[in-house]
Formats: sequence, structure tokens, C-alpha cells
Amino acid sequence: MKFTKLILPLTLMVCACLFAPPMLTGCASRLEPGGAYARAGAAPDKGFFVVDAAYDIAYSTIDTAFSFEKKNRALLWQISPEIKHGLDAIRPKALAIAREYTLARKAYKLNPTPANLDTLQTILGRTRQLATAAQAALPK
Amino acid sequence: MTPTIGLIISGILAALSDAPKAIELVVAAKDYIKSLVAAGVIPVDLQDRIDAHVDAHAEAVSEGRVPPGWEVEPDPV
Repeated sequence: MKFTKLILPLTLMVCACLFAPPMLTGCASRLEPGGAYARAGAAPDKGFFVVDAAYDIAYSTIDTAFSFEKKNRALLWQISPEIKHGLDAIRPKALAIAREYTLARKAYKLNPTPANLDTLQTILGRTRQLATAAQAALPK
Repeated sequence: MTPTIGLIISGILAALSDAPKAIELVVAAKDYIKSLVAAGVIPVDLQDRIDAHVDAHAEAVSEGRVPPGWEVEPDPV
């Protein structure tokens, strides 16, 4: 019964990842016009799309790690309390970064300048670091 | 410990040990999709899905909602 509860999040993790927005950073790729990243009278904003897609992947990775630990806490705690403690150290930072990205994203949407895009990229870099740390905190 | 319980525990431990592998699979899947679209056109529906997904996170954060599993909770006793 507990085994089933573990398999489900693992399956969801794989599915979420398979269908997670890919990092479409290929130089030759382009955005089909008319999507959410197109502004009126301008070409689609590929730079914003790439940052947003990468952020979404990093966010999903963090979310999956947190959810997995929470759902299987009793078992993971028996394996090592450091799994929870490691993720607990990341949790407040992840929330703070999510707030930061949300504000920066709003600012970019209102004022899509290269400087505002740089800010998003900087926050994305820190989000990726947290995603790597969250992955590393899970049992090997 | 009965053999059945032993098997169940082995299965649980196997599932747990597969968690990082699942994340690695994700990375492999991303790379695969990335290579597929590297020279192509990123369709409107994919753009819209990503925007909607990030919007949903942003809305939750703006409203002060904390996603399940993101809060630091007391250690199990």
C-alpha cells in the first residue's frame, strides 16, 4: 500500500518531467507568431520565452523534490533525517526566489528592456542552483 | 520479518532510490525534446502552456499561497 503511494509520485515526477516545458534554447529555433510571448506589433520575445521555460523547469524540479519528501517523510526520515533537513534549508530560499521571479517577471512584462531580462536571468541562475541542491538532497 | 514484508520494504527502498533517476530521466527527456526543436518552430500551444504554467506559480505567490511541501514543518517525532 505504501509502495503504491511511493510509485505514484515517482510516476508523476517522470511524467511531469517528460511533459515539462523543454528548454528551447536552440539558436535556430524560433517562436511561432501569435503565442503568449508575442507583443502587439513586435516579433515574439524569444529571450523571455527561454528564461520563462527554463524557470518553469527549475521550479518544477524543486516542487517535485519538496512534494516527494513531504509525501514520503516518515520513510525518508528513517533512512536519514538529513534528507528533510537538507530540503528544509532550501524551502525558504525557494519561496523567496519564487517571489523575486514573480516580481521581476511582472516588471519585465510592463517594461521589456534588456536590463529587466538580465534580472530575470540572474534570478533563473539562482533558481537552478536551488533545483540542483534539492535534487542532491534526495536519496541516491 | 516475514518474506512478504521484506519484499515490500525492498520495493519501497528501490522506489526511493529511483527518485534521483527519475529526475535524471527528466533531464534526458528535456535534452531529447530540445534536440528535436532546436532547428524548428516552437508552436503557439507550447508557448501558451509555459506562460500559463508560470502565470499560475506567479499568481499563487502573489496571493501569498505557499505550495504544498514548500513550508518547513516540524521534524517527525
